[in-house]
Amino acid sequence: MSELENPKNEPVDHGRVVRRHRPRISWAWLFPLLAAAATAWLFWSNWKANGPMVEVEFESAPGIQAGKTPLLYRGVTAGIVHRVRLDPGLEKVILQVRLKEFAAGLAREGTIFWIDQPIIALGNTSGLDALIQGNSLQARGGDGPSATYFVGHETLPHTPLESPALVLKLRATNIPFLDRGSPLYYRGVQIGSVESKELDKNGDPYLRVVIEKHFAHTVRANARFWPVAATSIRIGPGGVQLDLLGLKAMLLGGLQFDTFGDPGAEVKNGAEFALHTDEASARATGVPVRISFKNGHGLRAGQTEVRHLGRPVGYVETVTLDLASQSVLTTVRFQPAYEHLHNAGSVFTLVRPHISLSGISGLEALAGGPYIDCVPGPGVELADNFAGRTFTDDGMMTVQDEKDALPITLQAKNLPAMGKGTPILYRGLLAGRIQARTLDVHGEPVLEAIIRKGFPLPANARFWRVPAASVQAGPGVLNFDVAGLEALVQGAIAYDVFGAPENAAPTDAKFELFAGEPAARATSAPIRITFENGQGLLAGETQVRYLGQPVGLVESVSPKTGKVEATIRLNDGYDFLRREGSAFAVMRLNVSLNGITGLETVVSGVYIECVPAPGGPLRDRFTAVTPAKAAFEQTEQRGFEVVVTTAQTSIAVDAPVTFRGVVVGKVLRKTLAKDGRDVGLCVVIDRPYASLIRDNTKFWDASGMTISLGFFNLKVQNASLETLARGGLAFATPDTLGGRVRPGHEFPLNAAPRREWLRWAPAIPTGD
Amino acid sequence: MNASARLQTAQALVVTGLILYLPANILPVMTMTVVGDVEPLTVMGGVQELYDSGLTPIAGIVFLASIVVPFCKLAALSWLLLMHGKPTWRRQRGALRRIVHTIGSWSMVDVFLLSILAAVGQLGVLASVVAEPGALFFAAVLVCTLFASESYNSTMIWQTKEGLPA
Repeated sequence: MSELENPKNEPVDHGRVVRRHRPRISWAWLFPLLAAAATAWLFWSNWKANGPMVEVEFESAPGIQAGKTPLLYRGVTAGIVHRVRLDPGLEKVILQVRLKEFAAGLAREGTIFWIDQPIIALGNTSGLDALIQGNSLQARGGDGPSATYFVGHETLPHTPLESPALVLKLRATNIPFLDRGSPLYYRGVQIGSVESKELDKNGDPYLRVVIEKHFAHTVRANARFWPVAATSIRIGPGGVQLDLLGLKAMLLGGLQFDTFGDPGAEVKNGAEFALHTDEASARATGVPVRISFKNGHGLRAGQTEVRHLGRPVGYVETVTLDLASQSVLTTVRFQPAYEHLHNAGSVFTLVRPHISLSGISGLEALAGGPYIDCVPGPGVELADNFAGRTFTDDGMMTVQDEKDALPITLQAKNLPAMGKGTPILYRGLLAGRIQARTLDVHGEPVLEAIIRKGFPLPANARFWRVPAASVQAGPGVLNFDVAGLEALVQGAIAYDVFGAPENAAPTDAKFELFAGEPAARATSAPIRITFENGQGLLAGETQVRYLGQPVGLVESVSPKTGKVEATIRLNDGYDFLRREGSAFAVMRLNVSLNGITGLETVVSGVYIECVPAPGGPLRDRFTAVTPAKAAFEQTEQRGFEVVVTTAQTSIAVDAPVTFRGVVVGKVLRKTLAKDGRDVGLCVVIDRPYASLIRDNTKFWDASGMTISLGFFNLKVQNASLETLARGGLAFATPDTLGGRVRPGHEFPLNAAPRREWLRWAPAIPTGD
Repeated sequence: MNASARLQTAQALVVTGLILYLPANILPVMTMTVVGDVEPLTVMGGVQELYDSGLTPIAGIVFLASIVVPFCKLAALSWLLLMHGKPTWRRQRGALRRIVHTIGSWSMVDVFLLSILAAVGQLGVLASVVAEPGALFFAAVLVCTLFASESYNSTMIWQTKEGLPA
């Protein structure tokens, strides 16, 4: 069949199995489509998220980086700084900001742009996030027509978000402590704050105050503003009161306002008000009242208060000098409630703090400054022109006092630096004042003074200077003496009468002004004492003492023919010290083996000790003796003297004499007997113990120490350290008393006591 | 899968890679916040940053690994696919495909590093690293190249319209 069917034996085309080439598209091509779609969507959404481009110019743009710095609006990134460039004049920085689409509304007129940078200031710290995140551009939306070019604010607005409802200007001549951020209070509620403190064209400072919207109605046309101090401490009779307005106000101070009386209409934006200095002045809204003062010392415009019964009722608005009438004119405003106080006949007195020896007055003025005291008059009609007075008190001389006072003159070799007004005191009372320092007809400097009427001024009154402060020091005594606050400042003059007062001094009497009270007190006739050595004697300083008490003063010291002559004066009543035979000796510090004497002179200086003679006529010329002699004189008058004789002894002068271990006397002198064979120890027994000395009394040498060596012990007996150095005497009297001896009786000195002597215990009444 | 499907897959992936290469380099791959300094970084920006910091060698490496190499891979794959079925350069094409394939196993280093950085670099306010969409695109480019080079295996280089040569 195959031959027949294919006779020509043509090759049979079986055909090839050809796969039909269908162009199949792989599902993988979805990937590029998806990718393209995603990319396109991404770019499209990015493009769509971009709002308009705006330009903001700044003086400087610290920390702003193109492409990075965000524009923040309410804390949300509302755009990004696209480009930073300078304007052609290199004077401005222009920031191109690409706003986000949703923030396109910021591209309007009135939008405020500022650079938020960290500000760390008292109570005004802001932009702390900028500290961490870097500076940012901030915006506060405006509501004008759309715009794309803005001028940036150099300082950030105080209220970044809501537009302030009410902006006021407060003017004052001086705004010391208030600053941006200071709170504004209305009856204790903070309703706004200070936005800025600026100077106007005239250079006057003013505060821009922003008041929150819902408080705007509180500000009325008659509002009065005043600053409240950050902290106030009031010290008064009621104690110490510390006012704190809150931490913020403490740091920044604050403002307060209120309306006194009729509040008036509501105010518009930008209204101007005066900033008063304090609440008192803010409250004083009355009509101006003029008061003139002869002396306006202490009056301060805007500060000085007017008080009535101690309560502030007004304040001084202005203080001007009126040259024509040589007075100070003040304008005073009263609080509305107290307008009636300035009626006809009202008295205004300027009160200043006054400190005098008779008291302190106006002390409240010391703390609060001078004030004007107002005493309303009886009249009903208001007056607005007054002549003010200056406050006077007891401590001050009134004009009337000065008229009646007795003028006197005070003379001194050296006039102290005391000027007009120095008080003159009589026993602590203000008796007068110095009126002038002048020269008298002889060219001598004198002080002209007046003594108030009613104060005794005998002709023998003695005036002396009261130093501002004096320190008196002595052994165990340190006395700081201030004669009063006023005297502390300027010193004072005191006077008194020592001795019987004489007749009253006549007008213009002359008195000598002594350097001090001791000099004034030394009223006796001068006594001249000649000293071998005048070392340490100071005219006007060195005291004369009797039994340790000052009784006079050295008036002058002058060398005379190899000696020193001191003129002393004794106080009234001590004339008995100048009897013939009185001994005067200079007591100085004396350090020797025998002891230290006159230690008090280290502090108080040397003094002259006086030992009066028992009797005799008064003398005015003496020759000084040695201190030992004076001491001898003194002792001699006090003691009972006997003589103890021995061949030789080491007992020294001043050695103690003991009876049963009690010191009852001392060795006064050590002399050779007339024939030179014996040594006589002149022993003084104190008067109370004189009766212990009897004719059978035994004296022995108690010098040194006794060392007795026993079988078991070593016993060292030593009367005292003093006897070790100086030696000593002891005596005993037998139980059977002998007769009393006369002064100067001689006793032999035994080297050591017999045993029975130590057992003697006589009963002898002692004492004079 | 037959050769045609493989070829088409490779082609589609390369095209996808080329499309995604654009946003991968334009969009930031990560946002680095160091002490408040918020810095969105693109791949090129990162290189720039490194170069500005004076780390020139590292900048070079990153530039090579993150920009040049992916681009070269895409370019190489594109060329291989264009040359598909042509009788010339077969030996060289084979070598190139091998190279691309070998490099492919390293190409995810960038993404790996970024994932570690984003995981570790979370120091709160002080510093943080957040991966951005760009990283996704970047990774997608790399994945595309990987699968493309996998799909287009070396035997296909030698394939003609008539099939494989004898």
